Amino acid sequence: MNRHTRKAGFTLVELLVVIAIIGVLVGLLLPAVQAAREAARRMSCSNNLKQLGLAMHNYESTHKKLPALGVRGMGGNTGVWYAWTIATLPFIEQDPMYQAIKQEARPHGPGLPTPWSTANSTFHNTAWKVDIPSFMCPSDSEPSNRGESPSILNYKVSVGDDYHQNHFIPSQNRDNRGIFQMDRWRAFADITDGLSNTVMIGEAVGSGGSRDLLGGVALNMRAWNPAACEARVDPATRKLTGDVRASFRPHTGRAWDGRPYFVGFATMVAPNGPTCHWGGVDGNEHMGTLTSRHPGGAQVVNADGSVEFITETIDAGDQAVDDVADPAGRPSPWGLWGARGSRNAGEVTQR
Amino acid sequence: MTVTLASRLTGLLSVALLVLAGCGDSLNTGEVTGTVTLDGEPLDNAIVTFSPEAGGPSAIGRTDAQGNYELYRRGDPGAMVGTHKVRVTSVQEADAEEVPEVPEEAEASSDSDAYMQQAMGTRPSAYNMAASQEKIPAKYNQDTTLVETVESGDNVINFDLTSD
Repeated sequence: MNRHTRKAGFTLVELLVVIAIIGVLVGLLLPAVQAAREAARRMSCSNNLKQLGLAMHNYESTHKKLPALGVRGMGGNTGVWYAWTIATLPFIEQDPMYQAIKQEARPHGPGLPTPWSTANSTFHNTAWKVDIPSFMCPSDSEPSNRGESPSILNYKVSVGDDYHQNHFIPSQNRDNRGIFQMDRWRAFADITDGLSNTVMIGEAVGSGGSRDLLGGVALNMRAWNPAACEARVDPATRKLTGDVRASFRPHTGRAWDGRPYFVGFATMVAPNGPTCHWGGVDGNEHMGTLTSRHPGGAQVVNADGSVEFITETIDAGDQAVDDVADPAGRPSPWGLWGARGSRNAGEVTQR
Repeated sequence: MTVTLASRLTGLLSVALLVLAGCGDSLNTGEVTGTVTLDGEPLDNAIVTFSPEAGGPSAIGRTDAQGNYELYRRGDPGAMVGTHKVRVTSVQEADAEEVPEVPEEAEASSDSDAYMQQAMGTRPSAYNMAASQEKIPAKYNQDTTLVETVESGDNVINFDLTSD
């Protein structure tokens, strides 16, 4: 009799096993749910990229050229550079903001504030300090310090496989290898490698703090090759070592600042790698990197308007080859990734 | 028919664990360590890059004060198995004439004089000054002749460089 009643219930071992299985299933399901949420955010980011790609095409249809990476300001701020983002505003349904900026920037007007200005004025509060949803990828969170970061930009334009020419000396003596450069307006006809083979705009994340692998910037790299940038990652912690950008200067915080540090990236370090800087201040040569919080890679929009996911294992060639002052039409030494950035180097690209 | 609920469930659990265990690194790599000397002296803060000749991710290491390095592919230890072109590069010294840098404190403003000098774009490219500062001969970096083979398992590869 006693035996029969015991048969009807569960033993301790059975209960423990059931609990263990439920634990395993929850462990499997919870990350899957999180992954589904991230997949949705990624789709939102790729939609923004597509819209920006179309905006570039519409800009090109109107002006017969693509916008420059950055242009000099008018009025009182002729030494300050203003970004391509302003030029795209009418094409992403932000025409009121574009008109407000134009009104402020007109030659005899008050002049635009510096791109890092976060002062309090009607103009600042209605235009300059407004975060535009099309410029933001929800996979990235907001940088903690917005003291000199008026407006978030999670999408940067490609300067190509080019680091040397990627600084803002006024009399630049040569064209760089990618589509975008300061004070240079390129037409689609200049992209002889093919619009579908050349990267135009890509993702960038700036949160996570100064030493974050993706959100930080390693300063004082003082070398000319991407290997020196990769060498700034501590293998144990996957954080940046040495001098890093200050917390008040996240590289995604100034949508209107027309310098490569804030609005450009180079196709030299493979995606989701470190971003590096020759010296200590924004004006030096900048080796920006395509970065995202999506697992495995980051998205770009090519010059033909197609959105593509670039994996972080893309062939990035021999990372220790130096960028040189005069590349003289050499094919990119940085593999397929470098070739995807150059607009007229004549590489054969196979994906 | 004496299979109990418990044994069935444990069977299921072990199958699930085996499936999970199958997810691992598929790249064929070998761990690489070694020492770099220049004219017999240990080379500090040099960057050693192994680039697979068959294509694939570069493995990069940085030497410490004793000249020791260890290769990593962005946090993962080791280099691809096979032959590699090896380049040894250095981090260049700061230029004496460079514009003073903005201190990295939260109070430092972007509107400071030093910052504006940079922002005005008056500073020429650092390239011309820097090109002559590579202290390691070009035959070990940009015109490299170093070729090494990495095998699976542990590899010890030393470099004794000479500056003549």
